Amino acid sequence: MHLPRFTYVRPGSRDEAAGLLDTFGKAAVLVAGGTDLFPRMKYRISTPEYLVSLSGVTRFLPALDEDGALRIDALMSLGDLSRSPIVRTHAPLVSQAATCVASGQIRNAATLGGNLCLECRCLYYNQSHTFQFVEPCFKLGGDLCYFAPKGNRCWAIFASDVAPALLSLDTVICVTGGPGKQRRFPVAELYTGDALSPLTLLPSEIITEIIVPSAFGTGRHSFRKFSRRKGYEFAGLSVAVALQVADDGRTCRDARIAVGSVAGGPVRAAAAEAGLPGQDLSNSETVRSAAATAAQEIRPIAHHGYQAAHLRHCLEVEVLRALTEAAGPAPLADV
Amino acid sequence: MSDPLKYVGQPIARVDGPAKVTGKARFTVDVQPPGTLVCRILRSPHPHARILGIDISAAQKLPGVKAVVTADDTLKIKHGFVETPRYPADQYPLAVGVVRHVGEEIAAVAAVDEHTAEAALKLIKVEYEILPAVFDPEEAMKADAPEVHPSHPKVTEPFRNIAGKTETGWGDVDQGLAESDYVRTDRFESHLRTHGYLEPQATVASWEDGKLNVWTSSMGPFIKRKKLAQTLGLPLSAVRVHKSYVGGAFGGKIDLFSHEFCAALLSMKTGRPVKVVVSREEIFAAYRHGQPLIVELTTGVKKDGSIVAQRIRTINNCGAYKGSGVVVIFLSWGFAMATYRIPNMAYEGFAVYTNNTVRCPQRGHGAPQMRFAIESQMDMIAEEIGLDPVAIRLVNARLPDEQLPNGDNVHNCGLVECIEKAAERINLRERYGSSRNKAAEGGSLRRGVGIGVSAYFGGSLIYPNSSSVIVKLNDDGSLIILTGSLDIGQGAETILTQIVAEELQVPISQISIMAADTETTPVDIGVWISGNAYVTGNAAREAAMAVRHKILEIAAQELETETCQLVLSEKAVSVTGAPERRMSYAEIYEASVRSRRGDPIIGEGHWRTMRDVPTHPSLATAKGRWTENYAFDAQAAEVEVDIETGKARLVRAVTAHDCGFPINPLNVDGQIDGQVSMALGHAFLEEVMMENGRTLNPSWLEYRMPTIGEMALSESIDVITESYVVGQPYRTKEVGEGYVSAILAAIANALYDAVGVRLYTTPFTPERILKALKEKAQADSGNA
Ligand SMILES: Cc1cc2nc3c(=O)[nH]c(=O)nc-3n(C[C@H](O)[C@H](O)[C@H](O)COP(=O)(O)OP(=O)(O)OC[C@H]3O[C@@H](n4cnc5c(N)ncnc54)[C@H](O)[C@@H]3O)c2cc1C
Ligand code: SF4
Repeated sequence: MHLPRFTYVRPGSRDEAAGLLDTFGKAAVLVAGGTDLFPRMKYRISTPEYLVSLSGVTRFLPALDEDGALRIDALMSLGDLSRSPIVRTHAPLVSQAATCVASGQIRNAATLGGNLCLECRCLYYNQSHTFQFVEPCFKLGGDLCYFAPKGNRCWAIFASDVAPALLSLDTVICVTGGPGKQRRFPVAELYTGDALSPLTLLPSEIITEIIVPSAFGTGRHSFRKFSRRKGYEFAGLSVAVALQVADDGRTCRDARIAVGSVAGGPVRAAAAEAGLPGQDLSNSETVRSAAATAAQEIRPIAHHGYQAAHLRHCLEVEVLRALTEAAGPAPLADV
Repeated sequence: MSDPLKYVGQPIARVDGPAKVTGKARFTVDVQPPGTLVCRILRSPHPHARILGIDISAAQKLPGVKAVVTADDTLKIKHGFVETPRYPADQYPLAVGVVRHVGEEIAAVAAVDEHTAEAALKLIKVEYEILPAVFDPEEAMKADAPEVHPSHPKVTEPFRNIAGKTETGWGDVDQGLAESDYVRTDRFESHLRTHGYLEPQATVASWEDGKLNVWTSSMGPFIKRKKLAQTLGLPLSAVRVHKSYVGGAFGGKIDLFSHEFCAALLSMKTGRPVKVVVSREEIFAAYRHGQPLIVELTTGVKKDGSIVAQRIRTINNCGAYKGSGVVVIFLSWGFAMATYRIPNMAYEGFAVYTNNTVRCPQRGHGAPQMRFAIESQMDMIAEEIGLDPVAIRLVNARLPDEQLPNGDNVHNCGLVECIEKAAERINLRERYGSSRNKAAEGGSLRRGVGIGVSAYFGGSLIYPNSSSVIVKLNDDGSLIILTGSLDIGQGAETILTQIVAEELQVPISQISIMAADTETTPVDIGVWISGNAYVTGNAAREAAMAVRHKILEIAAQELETETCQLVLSEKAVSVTGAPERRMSYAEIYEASVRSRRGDPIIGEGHWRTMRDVPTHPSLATAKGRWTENYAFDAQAAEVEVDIETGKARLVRAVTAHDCGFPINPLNVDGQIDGQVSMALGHAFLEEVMMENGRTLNPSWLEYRMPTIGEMALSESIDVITESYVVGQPYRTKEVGEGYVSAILAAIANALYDAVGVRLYTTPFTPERILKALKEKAQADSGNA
């Protein structure tokens, strides 16, 4: 398979890139590592006239703010993220999640920003539609769904591994829409939850960096990815847990449980989280009931050969495992 | 005591290795004659439809399009994997009137580039009348099922869509079952998998001065030449298939493929070279895969575990044309009868047409499916009658020199030793049953061990039935081998070089090999039916021996001695006990040219298996001999199951194998590791997911072949039963296909050993394992 024809532009700054996106409008798509976009272009499910590349933009190294928050360039590669000592110390969950993505080669090309802005996935959609599933489904602008023919919505899956990690860390997203058009917001606000249009970004907005606050960043945590193979595979589901624990080392002060690959965006298990503050994390009943609650409130969508009931079962298992792991003795920051 | 072997049996590095790792090896995609056009193929979006009309006029007018072809531009000559009077060719290279599976080829274009070719495909208008379709073989057999093709005229049952039937047996099964102490019936199902060859199919065709030159990703150039000539209406002499290296095949590149025909036809139309590289997605969604079999198995045994009778019924979902679907129902009988003594047997196998893609051989060609069934049931029987898995297999395992019901003989069969050794290495007798459902450290992981056995034929009679090899001496004493054999990554060139090196005592580096060209190299059976090492290998040995005779004669004459006094070493001949009386091969060459009227010393060798057997066995009755070489193996597996998520994995595989003798132990180990990885993919991961004839996961990402992360520890144990003696024919056995089967069964049995649940359907997904565990828990609590 080969790429369709397009015009390639390589601006020198993010603001300039935002400007070009604005100028070209719908005809342009932003590209960072291209590991998500190029396969879609080969399938002709994305056929931009212009590719605005971020490969000419100067990147900065991750650094700590005065308040201890970690700032990471959205252009940082997932490979660098998984190796970076400062990230492994101050946001180990992020580097763990990044390490779970795809394969070594892909991680070296893939960027953090691209990972947060992945297109949703569905077996019927991620194909070239030359002789199979030729009629466009909702996601391709048509008016049918192959996955759930009776429904009238899209059930594609947002499968980023890093997004749930960031969600569990109360991460802040910084974007630019061109000179003077910067804004920042909590990562939860990046996602609509609607697979047809999963991101809240304006068409010309670019994620420039992320800020991981220190509160959760260095706290207890666990990241678990459930998939059939060890690598080179999107998650059946992924679970990120971040805990703040009182000085006694066992009482929960605050908890985040975020789950990926179960819906059109990363989701939090809010009810399960809410039950944890004040509880003794070393009590196995506490974590068991939190996991059960998570499996009650989140209803995974069947996808990529996984049945919904099975995912739901595994969600409970993985949340329990993640909570148990996170609640265990404080992890060494850099393992 | 003869001299130790210097080349054969040694772990010699691959002769094609340097070319491959330096990127110099030329694969089909690297062939790019000037002016090459790009071919793309229009495929059916429907699983079953009548073609009412095809309008190619707009596509033809598109600038850059050089030709568009449909069935109307062809001679409408059919081809098939099998072409016999009972099973005549049944498939047009381009659909005529009806399409019977999604992806079936309808038209092809040749254009100046890929973009133009693709745009042209979009301009071809096809009008269809949608026909009802059927995908499940048992549905397709029903009297009111949509008809893919009429049932085979010789099949008398009132079933629809029967492509073919194999029926055979001996003894009296009913009586045997009645006399058995224990009888059970089980049903096993296997799923649709594909080969996963890394090099996508590709072809370059160039029609020049009345000759069609073809480079194609194949498993043997001679069968491709035959089928291209046949479908294009050309004499064989007008088609030349050149050598290309091949990036893996596993059975998936034998048949004639439509893209090969289309590239050839388009080159003949345009007078320009035409290249087609099939996309990975097309391979997954429109190309030939392996065969999902249903196996119904009734076995009766005596108290000591000895089999009295076995009744087997297989149903093969054979896709929209016969493909090799009618062969698998024959072969799977063979894979049932070769390992154990079965005094009474009744076998019937049905190949059933459905509106799925066509099937072709896939490594093991029915053996994994059949062994999974038989070996799973073997363990169930053993448990019921209180035997251990090793004991029941030893009671039934074939012994050396046993005659098989089809007239074959197992010769030096090493099965018993294989079973003993595999069991011992993994400590099966002690471990089996001892840790069932017990966690090592109170966690959710359980481990178990299991065993399976298998046998596989090597080389059989099938077009072109024989291999020939030519060995030429150069005037500097080096050698050239000409062989029609093809290295598809399995090491064919290396082992042929080793054999010639051994016979003539010429270092590997001094031997070059010219291979796989229908005009410049002699005929070869092809690198399938597991025949290369035996058939082509013996031909190479014969050719080298002919050279050896000439060398010895000349040397005896020049050194004034008898040939029996001479020894060969390092490209020279010397007199035993008088090393100073010596002639180099260069000198012998010179002497031969001088004294034998120009004879430069060329040897030819030929080989055909089973020289007194006229033809291959009957696919319908299984009568007739099949092979001279059965390889045997026992494989043991250690499997780990997470009882909370249902995820299971192969931890360790032990392969004790009787491959005759290993011509190259490195290649043998490579083949074993590759088969272990393929089998664990079969067991746990790989599945072509289909919905109404359409493929849901046509990509590497979602087909889930194992990666290095899933690979298990793989150990092998040689059970050597044959030997190689310079100057004598040898009977080695195969290693390329037989070891995907017993290990699959061993995995199923180890899974049972780990958690006490039996799975009857592959793959062993987390969903299936959890479901079985849940059912078991319910049953256990009901019993409690
Ligand atoms: C074989 C394979 C396996 C994979 N496995 C996984 C996996 O296991 N887990 C996982 O999470 N992902 C996986 N991926 C997806 C992908 O590789 C990664 O998510 C990667 O991080 C995407 O980053 P990129 O820079 O390559 O994105 P690109 O392809 O460059 O972009 C992806 C999308 O994001 C947009 N975008 C990129 N950067 C920005 C930005 N700074 N601001 C706003 N929009 C932006 C682009 O316009 C595009 O729409 C896999 C991909 C492949 C091909
Ligand atoms: S779930 Fe979405 S992407 Fe998948 S078929 Fe339905 S509409 Fe298309």
